[in-house]
This record gives sequence, C-alpha cells and structure tokens, in this order.
Amino acid sequence: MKTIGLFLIQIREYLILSLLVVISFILIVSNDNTQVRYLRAVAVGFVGAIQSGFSAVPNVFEIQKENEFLREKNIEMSNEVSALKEAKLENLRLRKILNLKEKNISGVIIAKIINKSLIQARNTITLNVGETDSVKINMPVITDDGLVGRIVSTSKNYSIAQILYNRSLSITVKGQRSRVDGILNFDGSGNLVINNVPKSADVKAGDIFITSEYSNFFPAGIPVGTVVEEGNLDNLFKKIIIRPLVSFTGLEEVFVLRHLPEMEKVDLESSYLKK
Amino acid sequence: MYLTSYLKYAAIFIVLIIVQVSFIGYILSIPNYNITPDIVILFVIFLGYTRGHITGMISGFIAGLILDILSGSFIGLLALSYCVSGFVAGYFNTQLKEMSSKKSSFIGIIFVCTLVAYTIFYVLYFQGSSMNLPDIFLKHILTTTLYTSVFGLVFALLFNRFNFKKTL
Repeated sequence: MKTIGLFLIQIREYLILSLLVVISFILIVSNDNTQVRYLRAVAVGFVGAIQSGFSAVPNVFEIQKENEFLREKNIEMSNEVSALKEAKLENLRLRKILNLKEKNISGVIIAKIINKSLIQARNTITLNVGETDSVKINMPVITDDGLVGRIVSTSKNYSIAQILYNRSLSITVKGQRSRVDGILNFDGSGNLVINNVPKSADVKAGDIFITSEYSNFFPAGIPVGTVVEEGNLDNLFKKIIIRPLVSFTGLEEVFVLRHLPEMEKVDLESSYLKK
Repeated sequence: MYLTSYLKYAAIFIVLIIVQVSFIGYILSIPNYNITPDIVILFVIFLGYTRGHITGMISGFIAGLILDILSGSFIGLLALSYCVSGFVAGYFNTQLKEMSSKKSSFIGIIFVCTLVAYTIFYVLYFQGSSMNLPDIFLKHILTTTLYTSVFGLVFALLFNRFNFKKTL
C-alpha cells in the first residue's frame, strides 16, 4: 500500500496532467450549456466595461491602412453628400405632399463596436448594447452592406458577436441569381468558402450570396458576399471563395436585428437527428 | 508564504488577461493575418520554468479557461493548450536548478513551449476545415509563436537581469 502511495506521489505530475487534459476535453465537447452561458455573461460584463475605456486607442498596424481607406471614403462621401443634400430637399418636399410621418426602425438595435478581439482566429466584436437593450444570444448582426455575424454572449450592457471570420460560425447561404445552396465557413486562412458545391452548379465571379431560408439563425435574404473565384475539390464538387460585402477594417457601428431562431423548428430538427 | 505568492501570481494573471483581451489583441494584432502576441502564455511558461510542472500546468489550465470563456468560442481548447505548455515548461525547471550562472536560454524555452501550445490549439481548432497541416503550421502556429517569442524576448531580458534564484 505504501509502495503504491509512493508510486502515485512520484507520478503525481502526470496524474494531474491527465486529469486536466480529460477535463479540457469534457469542456470542449459540452460547450453550450447554461452554466457556461452564465459564466460568459459575467465575464463579458466585466471585460466589456474595461474594453470601453480602451476603445479610443487605435491599432498601430491598422492606422496607415485605415487612413488610406478613410481618404478614399472621404472623396466618395463628399460626392455623395452633395447628391444627398439634393435628395433630402426633394424628400422633404415629397413628404410634405404625401403627409407622411417619420418612420421609426423598430426591428434593429443600433450598436457601437467598442472592441475587436482577435483571440487565435476566433474573431469577435464587442458591442456597447446588452440585455437592457433587448439584445439576445443568436440575434444577427448586420450593417447596411450586409451580414456581419451573430451574437454569442450577452451581459447587462454589453454583448459579443462572432463575425464571419470565425471558425465557429457556419451560415446557410444561397446564390441570389443561381439559387445554389451551400454552407459558408471561414477556412482560417483568410477566406470565406462554400465547400461541396456540385461542379455543374451555375456560379460566376461577382455573383452575390445571401442568407438562405434554411438558416436557423439568420432571416433569409441578407447579403453576405460576392464570389471571388472557384476551385476544384474533387471530380464531383468544387469550392467557392466569397468576399464579404462588409468591410471589417473600418467597421465602427452595426445593427443588431431583433430576430431570433424559431426554436420549435430547431428543436424538432435536432430531436429528429438525435433519433 | 505559499499563499502570498500564489495570490501574487493570481493578481498578475488577472492583469495580464485583461491587458491581453482588451488591449493586446486589439492594438497589436496584425490585420489580415489574425496574429496576436500572447502575453498570458509567457507568464504560464515562466511559472512552469521557475515553479515546476504542477504550478505550470494548473496556472495554464486556469488562465486558458478564463481566456476561453472570454473568447465566446470553444471552451477548454486554450485551457488544454496552456496546460500542456506549462507542463512542458516544467521540464526545464530541473535545468534551472542545476545552472550555476545566470545565463539562461529562456527565450528558447518560450519558443518551444509556445510552439507546443499553439500546435495543440490550432490542430484541434482547424479540425474539419479545408486547411492542410503545413498551411496551419505556417500561417498560424509558426507566426503566432514567433510574434509571441518577440515579446518573450523582452520578458527573457528582464528575467535574466532579475536574480531568478529568488523565484525558486
């Protein structure tokens, strides 16, 4: 007995390592339970408060790139401004004629990005809206250009959204012109790809892909990206590389859509698959 | 005595995690490449190196778990990677005890342990993706390891200047 005890003491490092490795694997496979969500909410609230203080500090590598982007945007904007001024005046005149009231957009929550977090290719953004603003987990995040991502964690005043460049996010999409279906993923090397598309599918460079009605999390019809190129996977299938419509470089404000998955449908499908 | 030093380590970890999540990942990440220096792992390696296997892996596991929770993604993956890295750093603990001079190859140890951690992390993380192993190694494992090691260089210089025997 004493020998066994001594032996166990001798190999205690390996025993602890094995135990921790087992715990890690258990955690990896049982990820989305209530306790984990609660822990995330607490952590997001705490870190969000700190991040909002740092949000004014710029990324040293991005400053130059952002400057170029902003200069180009500035030229575009000044052209647009003059056109918009005209349009505004015209709009006012027409509103007066039609006697319309200003519309309130009730389907979206406007949010400011207070942090962009790059933790080992798990790209997320932290937003300055949370449960008090009716933000809930799984709500889609968009801009006027297209889809940004999905809310994965919330606290009272902050929330975290996975963006398209996140390996954990898969989106059911379809071609706007060709109606070809597929699942969009981030491949980790900087590209958004749709794998296993039949070779015969009619897809051309420049085609726009939108969210599909088969998606459990996103409403159908949100623009996601355009086709950049196609590549062969095997004799039967090809992969399509997509460039997102949203530019994540200069992204500062987003909209959270008040849209939640139809749980009845999700539950029915997952319970059928478990059978 | 032990309690005081462990509380001190816990406080350092909290500060490093906050800086990593709210500052480093945002300010020093290289756009388009998804590379971020990891200052938390440097302290895990330091603890494994100076305190041995057990402190290294337990501190690595806890720090990794906290970062996993904050990342909003797979929970347990960084915990596993940091834990093994802390354990590997513990192997160099004996070497430290045997050393008579202050010369240390701490930067080499940082490189090896970071490489181990990120190999585990990225190989598991990219399971099921279209990326092949050489691509994962070159674009993610090696780049993150090198970027972290550059930061580790500063850490190692400070470590060499510091009378590390006090930490034993």
